[in-house]
Amino acid sequence: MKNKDLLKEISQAHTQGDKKEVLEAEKQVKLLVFEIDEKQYALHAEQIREIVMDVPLFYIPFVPPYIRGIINRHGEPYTVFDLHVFFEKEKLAADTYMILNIPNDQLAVLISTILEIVKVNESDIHPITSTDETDAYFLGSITLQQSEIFILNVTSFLTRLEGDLDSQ
Amino acid sequence: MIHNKVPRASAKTHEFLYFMYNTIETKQEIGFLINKDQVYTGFFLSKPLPVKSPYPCLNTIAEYNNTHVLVFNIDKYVKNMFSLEHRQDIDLALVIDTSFFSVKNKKLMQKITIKGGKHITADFIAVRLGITADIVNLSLTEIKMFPKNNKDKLNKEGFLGCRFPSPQGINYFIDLEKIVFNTLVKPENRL
Repeated sequence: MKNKDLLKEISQAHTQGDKKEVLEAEKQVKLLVFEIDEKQYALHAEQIREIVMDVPLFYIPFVPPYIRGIINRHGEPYTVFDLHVFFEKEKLAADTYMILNIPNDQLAVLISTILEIVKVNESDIHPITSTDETDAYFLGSITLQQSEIFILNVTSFLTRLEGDLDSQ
Repeated sequence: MIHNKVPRASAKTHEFLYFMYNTIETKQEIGFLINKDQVYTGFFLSKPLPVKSPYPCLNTIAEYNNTHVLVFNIDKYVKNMFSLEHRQDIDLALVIDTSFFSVKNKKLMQKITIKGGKHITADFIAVRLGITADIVNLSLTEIKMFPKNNKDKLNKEGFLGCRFPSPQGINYFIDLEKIVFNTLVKPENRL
C-alpha cells in the first residue's frame, strides 16, 4: 500500500473511532431536579407521573414515621413518603407531591419544590462507590452548577418500607 | 359479522354501617365503614359498668338480653388514633355475634369473659359508638384497596380499605374483630 493511501486509511480509522465515541456520549438521560427543604435531589423523569399541590393528606396508622399518610388521586389512594423524615428525622412542611410511576403500586413523594428538568449524558452520572448505608438509597449523582445532586433509588425506599412494616 | 354482546354486569353493592367525625386540627371529614354483616343488632347503652381491665378501650360491661356483654369503646379508639373532635351525640352499642370470629379469637374471648367476674357472655361483644351511625348501600367499586406497599400491614391491623366520598374526606373500611383483638393481644395497639 502506498503511504498516501495508508495515510488516508489512518485518517478514516480515526474519524470512525471519534464517531463511535460521539454516539456513546450522546446517550442522555432526563432527570427531574427538586428540593426537599434546602437539599436538592433528582429522579429519572420517566419515574414521575404527575405533580400535584395542595391536596388533603390523610393519616394512616401502623406505618413508619416517614410515611405521612395517603392522598387521593383520581379516587385511588397513594402512600406519601416524606424523605425529610427519612434522612433528617423531621417532618417536611410542604404540600407538593410527586406521584411516581411504579407498576402495580401507588406512591407519592412529598417535596418542597420542583426546580428543573435536565438532560445529562449518562457518562456524567457519578456512580455511588461508598458502602455507607445511606448511599444505598441513591443511584448516583450529577454535578449541576457546582452542586452535587443525588439521584434517588425508589426501589430501595420501597424495600426499606417493606422491611420496616414486616418488623413492626 | 356477528357481534356477541356481553351483558354488562351491574355493579355489586353491599350494606355498610357508617359513622363520621372531623379531625381536630385540619377539619377533614373522617368516616368509618363496617360491614353490616358483622353487626347483629344495636342498643342504647344506659348504664355501662366499669370493670378492672388493662385494656383502655375494653373496660366496661353492659346489660344485654338478660346477661352482660363486654363493651369495646371504638369511639375512644378512633378518636385517639386519628385525633378526632370529641362529640357525644348518643351512647350506642353495636352487638357483634362472636360465632363469626376466628377459633383463636373465640377462645380468647372466652378466657377474658371468665375472668370478668360477673356473668359475661362470650357469645356477643358490644362496640360502643358515641355518634349516630347510618346504614349505607355502596357499590363495591367505591371501596379501594390500600396501596401494595402497605396493604398487608394495614389489613392485619383491621384497616381493609378506603373510600373517598369527596376531595376533602376519607372513609376507612374497618374490620371490628381484628381491631378489637389486636388491642387485646398487642400492647402497642392499646390507645
